[in-house]
Amino acid sequence: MDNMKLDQIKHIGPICALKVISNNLLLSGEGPTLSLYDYIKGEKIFERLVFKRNKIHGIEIINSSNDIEDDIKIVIWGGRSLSIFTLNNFKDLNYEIPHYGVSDWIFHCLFENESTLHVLNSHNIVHTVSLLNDNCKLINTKHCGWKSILYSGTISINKETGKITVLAGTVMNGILIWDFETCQVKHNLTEHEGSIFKVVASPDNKYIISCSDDRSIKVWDMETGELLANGWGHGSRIWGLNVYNISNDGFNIFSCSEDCTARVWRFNFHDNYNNGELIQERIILVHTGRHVWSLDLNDEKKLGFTAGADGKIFVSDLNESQRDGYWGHKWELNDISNEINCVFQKGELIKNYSDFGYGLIAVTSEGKIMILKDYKKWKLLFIDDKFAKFCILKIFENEPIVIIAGKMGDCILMKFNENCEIEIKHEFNLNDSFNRLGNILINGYDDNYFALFESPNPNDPLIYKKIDPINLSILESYELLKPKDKITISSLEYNKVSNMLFVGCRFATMLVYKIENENEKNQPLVVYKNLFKGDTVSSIKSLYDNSNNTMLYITNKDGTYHIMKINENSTYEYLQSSKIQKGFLEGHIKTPNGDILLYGFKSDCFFVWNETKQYEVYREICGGPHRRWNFKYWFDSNNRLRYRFVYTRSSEVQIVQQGEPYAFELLSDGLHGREIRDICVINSQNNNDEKIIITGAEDTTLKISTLKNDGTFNSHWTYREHIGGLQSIHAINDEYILSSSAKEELYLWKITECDNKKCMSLESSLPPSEENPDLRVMDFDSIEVYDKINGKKIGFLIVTVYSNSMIKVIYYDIASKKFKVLIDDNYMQCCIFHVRFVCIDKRLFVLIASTNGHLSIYDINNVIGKYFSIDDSNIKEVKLSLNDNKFEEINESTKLDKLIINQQIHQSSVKALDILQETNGCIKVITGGDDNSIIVSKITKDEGLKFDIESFLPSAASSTITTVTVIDEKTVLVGAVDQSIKLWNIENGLTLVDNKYTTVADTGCSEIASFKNGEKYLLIGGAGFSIWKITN
Amino acid sequence: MGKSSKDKRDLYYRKAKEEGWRARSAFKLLQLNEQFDLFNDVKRVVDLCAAPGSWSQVLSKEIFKDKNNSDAKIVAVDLQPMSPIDNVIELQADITHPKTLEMIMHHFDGEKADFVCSDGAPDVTGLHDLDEYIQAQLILSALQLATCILKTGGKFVAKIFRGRDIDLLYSQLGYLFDKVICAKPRSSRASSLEAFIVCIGYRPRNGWIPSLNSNLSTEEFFQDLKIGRNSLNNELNLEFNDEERIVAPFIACGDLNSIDSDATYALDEDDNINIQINSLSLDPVQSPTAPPYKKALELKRKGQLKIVK
Ligand SMILES: C[S@@+](CC[C@H](N)C(=O)[O-])C[C@H]1O[C@@H](n2cnc3c(N)ncnc32)[C@H](O)[C@@H]1O
Repeated sequence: MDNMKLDQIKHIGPICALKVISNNLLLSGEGPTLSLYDYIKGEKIFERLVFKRNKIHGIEIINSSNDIEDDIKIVIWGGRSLSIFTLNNFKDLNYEIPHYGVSDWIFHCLFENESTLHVLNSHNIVHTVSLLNDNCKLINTKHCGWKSILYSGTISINKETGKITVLAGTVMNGILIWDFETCQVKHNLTEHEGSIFKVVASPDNKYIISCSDDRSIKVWDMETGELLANGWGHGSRIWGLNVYNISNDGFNIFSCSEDCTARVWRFNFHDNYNNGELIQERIILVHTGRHVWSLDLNDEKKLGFTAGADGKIFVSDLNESQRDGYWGHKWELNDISNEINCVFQKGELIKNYSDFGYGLIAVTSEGKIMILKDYKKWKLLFIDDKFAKFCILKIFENEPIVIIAGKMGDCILMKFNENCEIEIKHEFNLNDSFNRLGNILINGYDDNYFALFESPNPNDPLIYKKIDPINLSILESYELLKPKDKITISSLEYNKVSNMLFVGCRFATMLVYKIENENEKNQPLVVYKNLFKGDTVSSIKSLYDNSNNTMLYITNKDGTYHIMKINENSTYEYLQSSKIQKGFLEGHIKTPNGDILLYGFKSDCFFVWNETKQYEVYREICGGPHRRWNFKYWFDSNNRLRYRFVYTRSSEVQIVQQGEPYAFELLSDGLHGREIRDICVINSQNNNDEKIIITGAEDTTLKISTLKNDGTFNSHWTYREHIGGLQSIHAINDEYILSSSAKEELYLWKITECDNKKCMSLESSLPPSEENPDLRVMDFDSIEVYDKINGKKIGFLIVTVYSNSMIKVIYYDIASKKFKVLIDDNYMQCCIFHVRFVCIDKRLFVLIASTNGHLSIYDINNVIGKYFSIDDSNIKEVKLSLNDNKFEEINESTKLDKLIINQQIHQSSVKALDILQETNGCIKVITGGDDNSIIVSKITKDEGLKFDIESFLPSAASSTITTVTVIDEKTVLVGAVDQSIKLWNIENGLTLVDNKYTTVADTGCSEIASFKNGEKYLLIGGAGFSIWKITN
Repeated sequence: MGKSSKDKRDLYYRKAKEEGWRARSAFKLLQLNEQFDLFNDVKRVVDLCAAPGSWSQVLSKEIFKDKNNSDAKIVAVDLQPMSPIDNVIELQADITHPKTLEMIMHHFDGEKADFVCSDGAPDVTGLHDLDEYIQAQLILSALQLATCILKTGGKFVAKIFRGRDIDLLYSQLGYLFDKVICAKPRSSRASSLEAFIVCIGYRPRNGWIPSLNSNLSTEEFFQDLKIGRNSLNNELNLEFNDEERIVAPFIACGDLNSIDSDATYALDEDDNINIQINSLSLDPVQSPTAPPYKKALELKRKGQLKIVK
């Protein structure tokens, strides 16, 4: 008999509890596992499973009387479970973690002292537990006479008086505040609407802070029960509240919400006591999907910790302006005029500035050239009319070399030293080439520096000049002809591999030049038009890896970005393309550890976004994109990003330079922030030791990741192409995958690899059948199609099923990237959940399963036979070839032939299905239903086809079975919403082989990854993601 | 996902509108009744978590179809206010509050009920374990009332979320009723966790006299009932895994040809799906009561939620 076994090795999912225990340690409840992080070093120190089933929902600690860190006492709770141990016990694997429970859901626990713990349950009852002699003993139970269900509650102790107060949030608007000693209700605060989701006391116990379904935060006076202030801002429900920074002036509140943000609020005694406003100071957007569930604070170091449904743990600096090296200032024109001791004329403005690493150079509309030395002190450099009204100012990224140019083509090159003095200066003009200057772009690589000059006259060529970085002389000069169409240049990059110059332009256009002949007119090698749907190519940067390919990172104003590969024949392809959720992109940064950061503007902010890890690195409310700005970044000795941002707002020049960060930003990477709907596993093309995993979630994003054969999992990129709710992702082969969603989206993706990451790019999409697509593409299947003569892969045969009972069989031609619909028909009027091609005795069938509990089979050989032949005898892998390349002749679609099998097997929806093709030609269909049952059906060749039910187990789970995955000839995995994952042997009836509980709620999909070396992993997706090792 | 377009195409929603039900939920009760003949001999009912009131509408129509039904009674309870329905006594209260149960009992004045139902659903947070727990608490509160007010042989129907601990509940209900079935009406989406527990034939536990004491929480009320629930003890050593778990039989109800709540139907008004127009005039579909976050939406519309710097 089998003894196949499942062991969980990794879990990523919602984090519902965080607790800071010292100035470097943080505890985090990750499902039933408790993890310990060092947030100064940014590493996980230790993790351990502490509960059997329950998720950790809360953590509290008490410092020991001897002040030894290891003696800190910890209580964790979740559901009806709780456990108490010291930090030392926790880290000691020989120590068995005790497991206690009360008979009701726990909302909060509080240590009154080292030997007394109070436990508040969801019916507003407090149990008091004695912890003497390491034993847990119930000593008292108290309540205030009001025992209805709560949605939140906190026990709070006044550190000065020792007085304990219970704050209870009910489901009907009210907050009950009761005194623990007397059990008297002190206040019933009823000014909220809807259920109360959180209520806490300020650390000094003078204020109550609460939130409810009405999305407001309220501050109340603990003594009088008076409502003091309302805070509005969160776009959805608020889950967490914490108070810090208490002083005589007021305090701050840190909140986290379903709207995926954390926010900082200010409550001031003087200003707001009477007008009752809580001022929103900052929005922190570092989680994705939905729900930031938990938060905690380090009040001393002013750090905010958040964790959410995405499994990410983030540390936000709540006191950036107090860190070493921080510099923030703003100058009005008057201030500058006073500093440089020179009067500005009426209407004179600062038109332009740039950051050269030691200071800022700025030009006014009257041609005053000024320096902001060390970013602190303004100095006048010179005044030159040539640069009045119109002036271009550019700076090389890695050298303090500045180019300044006027409308008539007068240019000055200047090199600065550390004291912000001009070291060398070189003047020239462009009169030989053109008499008006429109724009200059500059760039450099290694020790080469060059500039590209553009005239507003469409007939003038672009002038390329190479600059000597030492003496600033012009080394070379070339004329680059522009194409006929109107061109406005926007970005520039030289690529070393191909020796080509790339010029990004407006209207999604890119010009490519090879710079070879001085004195001659260089035509563009290629002009790429309509590169994407948007407008301006905002940045281009070469990507050099060990592949010797010409590859570019390009960002576009419209928020999309690509990795573009230029082929030998000058055609191009995108290896990677995606877009940010909202906003305009100006450029990208690659960090030393390989993360890709994108920066740009959205609504009234400038932002820097870590696209690899999906969080906002920096946000500055600057008023929006239409202003002068300069963003300068570098990496410090710890490889951390540092930056300085200068911008103009209401004619004030503002500077922000970030200081030395105290803690590490990201402690845990996480994955999707909404339920994972499907998982797809494919082989890595050149590495047997890893698999490529594509996951798709309820928030419509897809993610590409790798799983190594030692179980390590890493996420690489995120895709936001789908608009509708995701339904299915399946591989066609190791190069192409398909994904489908609501709004009738069926996308074909090509998988590649570059820059040490797995990538994918949208290759084609099936046009929807209606103008306002509203159908869900529930599922699909595919078969590769080969050329009859040369045996090359030329296309795919695809079958898709829809929520309105529609079935389509489609041919996709790889060369033309076009779809042709061969069959277009309807099953009935119910929603079809699953579809598979099945091949029995060299005949091809379509098998579907639907909400009506039926398995149904269509014979499609009449239609398919017209164009394709099934020509492989290997039953397990059907091979089709296209007869005489008839693709062009396929013009209209036909209907399906008659149903040859239509058999009800489940009472209602067939929610899960997988197929086992047996070597003897018959197939087994394993299905799981909404009716909790598993059925194994067998389809064999007969006159037509013969359908038998082999085994049937009515109560295989206690709730809907949502996923079935065949593991091998005799074993299937069955997962259900009751969070059970079971292995069944299906050889003779159904025999249970293993039964495990998964922390992944809303369990909905599973896949197997089998490695060459024999390692086998099971991947489970739902509200979270887990990886299990399968052993024999 | 575009909720509005899905709703437009939701045939149950359209059908409810046409037949005058306040919510599409009406069809869930109707389909449950089709399968289990729930309304047979039922005159005295408690409808818990009843707003906006479509179940009460169905019950009122059914029970008061013969005019001289003088001893019939329907009491409907919800946190939310409900607009009046003929022959229905409406209470606005929290069913988990012990006092609420007393209030309902008071309306029955010592007499028993034939049927207790609850279509209650909590404010779903997205924390599956908490949501399932609170849902289970609503069911327990309903069951608590049922044990106090149901006549022997009476029926109990409640909405459940079929999550990780649903088998515990099945097992506990098994001690109190002849038959416990998990039923899923076709009008309830396959994609939701929702189903209904249909309990037929109430059998009071021997020797246990339920008493509604407003000082007892639901949990405490059941403490001595011996239906396999873990209860608090001095050592706090609950062994959760030892609690009994049973899977109740599953029955899908409603005709297979009835409307599929997961399917997308064409918007075409004269499609061949037969939408029955009910001749009886009932109250129109009720506009939803204002959500608690109405003010937040209003401030957002006015652009007042931004940070001003
Ligand atoms: C799905 S609706 C009921 C629909 C209703 N059966 C109908 O047909 O119109 C669920 C209701 O449960 C109510 N509810 C949730 N928790 C409750 C509680 N603790 N006490 C009373 N009602 C509650 C909600 O206010 C909501 O109106």
